[in-house]
Parts: sequence; C-alpha cells; structure tokens
Amino acid sequence: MKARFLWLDVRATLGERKTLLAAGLMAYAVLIMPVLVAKPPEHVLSALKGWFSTSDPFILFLFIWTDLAMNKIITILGVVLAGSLLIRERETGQLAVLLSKPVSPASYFLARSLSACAVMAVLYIGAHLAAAPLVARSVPGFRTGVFFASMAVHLFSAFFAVCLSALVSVLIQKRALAGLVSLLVLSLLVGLAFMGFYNPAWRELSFFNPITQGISVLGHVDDLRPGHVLAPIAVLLGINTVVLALGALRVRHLEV
Amino acid sequence: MHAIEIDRLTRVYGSVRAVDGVSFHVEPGEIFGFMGHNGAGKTTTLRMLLGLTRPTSGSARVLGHDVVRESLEVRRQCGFLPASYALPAHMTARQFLHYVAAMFDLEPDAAEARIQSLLRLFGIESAADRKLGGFSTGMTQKVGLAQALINEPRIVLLDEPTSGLDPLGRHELLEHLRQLSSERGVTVLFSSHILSDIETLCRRVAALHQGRLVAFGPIETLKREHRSANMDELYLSLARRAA
Repeated sequence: MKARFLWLDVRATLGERKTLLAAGLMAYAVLIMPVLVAKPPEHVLSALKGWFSTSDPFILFLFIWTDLAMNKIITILGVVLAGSLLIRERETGQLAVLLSKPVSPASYFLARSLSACAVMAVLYIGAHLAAAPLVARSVPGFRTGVFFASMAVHLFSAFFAVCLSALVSVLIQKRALAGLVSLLVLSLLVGLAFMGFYNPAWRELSFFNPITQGISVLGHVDDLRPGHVLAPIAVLLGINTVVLALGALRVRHLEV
Repeated sequence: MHAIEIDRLTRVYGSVRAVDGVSFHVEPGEIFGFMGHNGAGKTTTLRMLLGLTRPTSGSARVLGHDVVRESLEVRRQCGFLPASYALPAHMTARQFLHYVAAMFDLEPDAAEARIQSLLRLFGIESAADRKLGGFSTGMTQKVGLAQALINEPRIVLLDEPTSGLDPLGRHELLEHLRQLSSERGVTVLFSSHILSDIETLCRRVAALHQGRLVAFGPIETLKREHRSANMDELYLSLARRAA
C-alpha cells in the first residue's frame, strides 16, 4: 500500500462536494442535539425505560445520539463515501488512467476504501469533538469518558458502513442499484441493532450484527470496563477486514 | 530486444473476436503508427499491452516483460493516454499529477520537480492550481499527456491522442511526441484513425481491420506495394482487400 497515495486520496476526497454534504449532515446532528435532548419524543422515553430500566438523562442522550443521529448518519455517509467506488471512475473513464499505473485493482480498491474510512473518521471525530462541549452543558450528569468510549466503538460501525458500501459497489457495479442495496442492508442492520436490548433471548443472534457491536457500550454505561470497548472494536475490525478482503478478491481480475 | 512484441494476440468477447491473432513488433525509440477504423481492435490491443484487459490467447511482451504475468512492471515503465477519459473534476492539475506520481512511489520533492517541468513543457503552468473540472478539451489533453509522462516512461501508448484537439493543439502534440522520441529515446505507440497524423509522425505502421492485422511495415513500402499515393488510398486498399 502506498501511504502517500492514500494520504493524497484522503485530502482529495475531503475536498469533494459529497464530503461537504456529509459534513453538513454531521453539523446538523450536532446542532439539533441540545434541542432534541431538552424535549425528547414520548416514544423514545418509553422505549428507553423498557430497554434500559432507567430515566438517566445521560443514557437518554447517549441513546438518542447513537441511534437516532449517528446510526442513521453512518448509513447515509457510508453510501455517500463509498457507494459508487470504482463505478464512478469507470463511468467517467478515470479508471483506465489510474489503473494504467503500477497499482493492482485490488490495491486501488483497498486504498480508496481505506481513504473513505479515513474521511468518515475525520467527519465523525470532528462531530463528536464539537458535540461534547455543546451537549455537556444541557445534559445533567454528562460523562465525557463514557461518551467518547461508546462512540469510539461506534466509529468502527461507521467504518463497517463504508466497507460494506464499497463491497456492494464492486459486487453490483451499477451506481444507483449498489447505493440502494447498501442503504437497504445498512438500514436493516440499524433497525435490528437494538433487538438484543429489548429481547435478551436474541442477544446472541445480534452478536453478528456489526451495528449492534457498535452500540454495545450502551449496555455497560454504569459498569464500563476496557473489555467492553476493546472486544467489540476487535470484532468490528475483524468483520471490516473480511468485508474489504471480499471486495479486493472481487476486483482482483477487474478489466478496464 | 524489441520494445513491444505481440504474438498472435487474441481477445474474444462472446462471439466477437475484438482482436484476432495479431502479431507485430515495435523497435525501441521509434514512433509507431497503429491505425484502423473505430472498433478495429486498437484500444483492446493497447489495453492488453498494459494488462488492463486479459488476452484470450496469444502473448505480448513490453520491454521484455510478459503483459499478463508482469503487468505491474510493464505499467511502471509505460505511460498511457486512453482515447476517452475524464480527470477528477474536484482536483487541480497539480494535485492530480501529485496523485499519479504517488502511484509510482515518486518522492514528493522529485514529483514536484517533475510536475513543474511537465507543466512548463505543455505550457499549462498558469492553470496548474485550477480545478480540472473547468479545463477545456485541449487543456485536459495536456494534463492527460503530462500524467502519461510523469514516470519518465520508456514507452508511451497513446490512444487517439489528437481526437478533439484543434489544429494548433494537434500540431503542438505531434511536436511534443517527436521531441520525446528524438531527444529522450522514448518509444511511442501512436494509435489513431486519423491517417494524416500517422503519416506525419510515423515511419512504420500496423493496420487493423475488424480485429485482424492487415498490414505491418514501413509506410513507404506499404504504399508502394499497394500502389497508393497517400495514406487514405493505402488504408482503403487494405480494408477492401481484407473484406
């Protein structure tokens, strides 16, 4: 992997219009959060009581932030950042120029996917650094450490959204269809993410849902240990590696 | 050793033989014309030479490297300008050239020096920091050529490089290619259906018709053999004979 190429690709992607759109989505989530937390919807409050047996305002905020904001945003951002990977380059004729260089299609796919993950990380971390001080003032009992620990794990779910979108893109090779399929799969995984919380019998099944892994710290807010953070990160790293490897395998004999 | 050596190269798409048993060779340092009508198989042949498309059968070697097994080494030593392409609209010319240079592992300082000299060579220094999305066809073609030369290639493969250029741009491009060949010893495989460009630039040619090689050799010899006064007559004669 060429580190400088990766760095230049990240810089170039940060300057793209789609990244500005993604940054706008993140900014909207940050700005709306204090308003939403001040007067949460009734159904959210009742769901929270049922799932977590608490009315702790911090847990309420963490749930709203993780599920209502970040889960939805990473679904969209994953598709925006990687949903047309290699398809767009192929449609515009850029791929023939780029793959005529000493870079294999698999390496190019990996570099572009990792670059999209890096852009996701920049946007995600930026949003959290902006949100923390803003929300800390309006949420009683705000716990900075737990907030960042929880979202550090969730960041790897965001990477999964990017990696999955990249994989679907090279599997389907049609821009609109690939985006739609990624969006549907990710929405389904987000929809099922909390299944283990409201029905403990399904907890083991949800283990295989990367979004569930990403929100797992929510179940350990009061007894958080390093293992609660590191274990899901390790699982998500494994899943993301497998997803990217499948994508690289798919494109290794790509013809231009 | 030939710069490019093609032996019974074939590519089949379903029932279509896009390239059908083509064999020819290109000598080091020459500007070699590769002619044929649109869809004759020129682009597929060029892409096979770079390992971008796999041959169905036959083989090809570029600077001694097998184009299938050693395609990365081939690409390291070649420059390529496709017939139809776009450059990333959100990047500036300089950013894009650095991006391409990074694919060759060029050090940033060496890349900047190389980019600067290419920008100067093609007279686009003043536009170097403008977004590529706003470039005209001629300017895009110059950046396209600059990216093909960023690695100081020993072989340049150009697919219809003069299409879309105005007469001045076309003249400048042909001059650049002559300089590349005469001053730096670069081998140029010049693929085009514009026969006057080939006649202006090349001494030897290969002609494709419906995927098959219909002629290979010095232009003057081919003209004599086919009793043709100019390239148009020569090509028509070759095409009619093949049909």
